Amino acid sequence: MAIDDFFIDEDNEGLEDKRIFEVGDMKFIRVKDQEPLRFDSLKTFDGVIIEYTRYTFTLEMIKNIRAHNEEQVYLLPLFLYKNYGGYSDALSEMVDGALERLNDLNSIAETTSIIMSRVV
Amino acid sequence: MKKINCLIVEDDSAFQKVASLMIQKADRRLNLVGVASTGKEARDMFNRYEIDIIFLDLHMPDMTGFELLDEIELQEDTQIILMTGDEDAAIKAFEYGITDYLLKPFSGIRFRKSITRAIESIQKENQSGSPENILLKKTLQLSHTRNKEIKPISSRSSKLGYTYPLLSINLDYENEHIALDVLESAEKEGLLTGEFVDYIYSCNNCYNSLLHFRESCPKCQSTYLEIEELVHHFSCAYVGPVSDFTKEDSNEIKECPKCKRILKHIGVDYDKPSVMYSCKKCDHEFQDPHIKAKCNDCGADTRVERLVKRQLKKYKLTKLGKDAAVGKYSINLKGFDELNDIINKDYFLRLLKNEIGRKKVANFDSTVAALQFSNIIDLYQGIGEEGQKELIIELFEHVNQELQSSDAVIFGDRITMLFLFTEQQEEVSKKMLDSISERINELVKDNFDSFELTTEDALMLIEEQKTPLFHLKELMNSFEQVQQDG
Repeated sequence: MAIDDFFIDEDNEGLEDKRIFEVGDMKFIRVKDQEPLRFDSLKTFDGVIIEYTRYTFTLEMIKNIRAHNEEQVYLLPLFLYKNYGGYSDALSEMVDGALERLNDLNSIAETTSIIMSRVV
Repeated sequence: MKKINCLIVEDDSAFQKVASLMIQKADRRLNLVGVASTGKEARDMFNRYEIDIIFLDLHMPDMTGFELLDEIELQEDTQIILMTGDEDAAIKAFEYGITDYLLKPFSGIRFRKSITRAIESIQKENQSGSPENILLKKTLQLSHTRNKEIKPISSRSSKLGYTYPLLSINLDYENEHIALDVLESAEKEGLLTGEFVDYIYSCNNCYNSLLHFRESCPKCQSTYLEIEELVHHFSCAYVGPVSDFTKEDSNEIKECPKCKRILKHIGVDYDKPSVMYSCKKCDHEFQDPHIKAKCNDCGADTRVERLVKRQLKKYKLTKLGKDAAVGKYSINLKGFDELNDIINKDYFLRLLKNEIGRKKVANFDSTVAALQFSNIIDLYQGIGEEGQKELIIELFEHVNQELQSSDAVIFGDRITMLFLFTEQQEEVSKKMLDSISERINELVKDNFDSFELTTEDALMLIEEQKTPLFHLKELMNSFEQVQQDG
C-alpha cells in the first residue's frame, strides 16, 4: 500500500483526475510527464502544467515542447507540479514556475498573462 | 520562382479531372507532376519526384490513404490535403499531421483556401533558415518573453558540464557544444551582451567536458606510475626518495643514508620538498609528469594543454536582440557555415559510399587515405578559434587545388584530413599523399614561426564488400596504433 493511500490530500481533493483547468479566460492543461502526447494539440491552451514523477520524464516532456518547431507550442508557458520537494536548477530554468497545489492557479495565470503580453 | 510539385491520388477519374483543373487555376506556382489512381502508383510517383503537396483520397482500390502515408517517407514540409466523403476519418487524419481536410463535395473557394494554407506552410519552412538561426531565434524569444537572462547552469548530465536551459533544450547531447558557438556568434552580431561566468575545458575530439584527469609518463605516456615523496635532510643536504630513509619492513623515516643520523622531526631535521614519479611500464623516473585527460564519451586521451578551453558567459538581450525576438530584425548569424563544408565526416562517408558502389560494377583500384597532424593542437592553442578556422580553410583550399577534379579532400575533424583518390593505385596515392604532406609542412613552417608539424598518414584500398564506416574506422585505428607504438 502506498503512503499516499493513508492521507487525504486536502489541497488537491477532487482534482486528482482533472485535466483542464480554467482560470478567468485562460485554459491550462495538466499532463503527466510520461504521457504520450500530440504536442501540436497543446497550442489550444494558454499553458501546460506538467506533473512531475521523474526527472528524465519531465526533462523529455519539456524538451518535446520547447524543441517543437511551432512557435505557439515552444513558447507555451510551462509549469511543474508535484506535491512536495524541489527541482534541479536546470529544470527550474526551463519552465516558468512550479506549483504544489492545483486548487489555486492564480499565480500561474498571472505569470502566463505577463508572458503572453510579450509574445508578438 | 520555385515550383511547388503536386500529386493527386484519386481513383475517381471524374474527380481527377476536376482536381487537376482546380490546381492549375489556383496558383501559377503549382506544378502538377502526376495523377495516381492507386496507392502503388502514388508511392512510385512520390519516390520519383520531390512532392510538396499531396491531394489524397482516402479510399483507393489497393490501399487506404492512411496506409499510403505509412508506407512513404514524408519530408517535414510535405503538405497533405485529404479529400474524402468520410466524416469519421477526420480525427485519424489529424493524427497524421495533415495540412487540411476537405469533405467531398467541396467548393472551389474552400479548395483554394486549402491550397493557400499549404503554400504558406511551405514558404514558412523555406524561410526558416539555418538550424543555428532558428535556434537563436527561439532562445531570444524565450528570453524576451520570460524576461530572463540566458545563463549557464552547472549540470552533470550535460556534455559541457554546464547547460543553457533556454537554448540547450533544443540540442541533443552530441550537439550541446553548438550552444556556445551560437551565443558567441550572437554576441558578435550585437544581439546579446555577455558577462564572464567561468571557463570550461573540453575534449578536442568531441567537446565533452566530463574528463578523467591523471598523470602520465612523459616518455611512454603510460599512466601506471608510482609516486614517492622526496626527503631533504637539512644537516647533510642529502635529497632522495623516502625509501632511501626507511627500512624494508617499515614506512617510518629513520636514518639518513648519507650521514647515518636519525631523522626525528619534519620541519626541524628534514622536509619533503617534492615528489618523484617512476613509471611502472618503462622505469623512467621524473618529477614533472604530463597531465592527461581521458574523455568519458569518446575515449580520446589527450594532454591537458590540448584540451579546448571555452569561456562561459551569461547573456542579456540587446535592443537589436529584442527586435530579433519580436521579428523586427531578421537573424543571420555569420561564420557558422564556414567550416561545415570543410569538416564534414558525413559528406566523406557519402562520397565513399558512391565510390564503393562504382567499384561494385567496374574493376579498378581506388584509395582512401588520411593525414593526421598530431601536434597541430599546440599550434591551435596559440592562434585561437578564429586563427584555427583560417588555418583549416587555408589548408583545405591549398590541398584542394592540388588534387585532380575526381579526387576529394575533407577534414574529418580539426586534426585529420581525409582523402579519396579515385581510380588510383595505392602507390600513386601514397606519392600524392607524401607530396601533399610535404607542402602542408612547408606552408605551416613559413607562416607560423617555423612550427614543425608532426604528420602521420594512413592509406588503404577501397574494398567493395566493406562499408564506408569500416574504411574510416580502419584509417583512424591505424593512427591510434601509431600513438600506442610510439
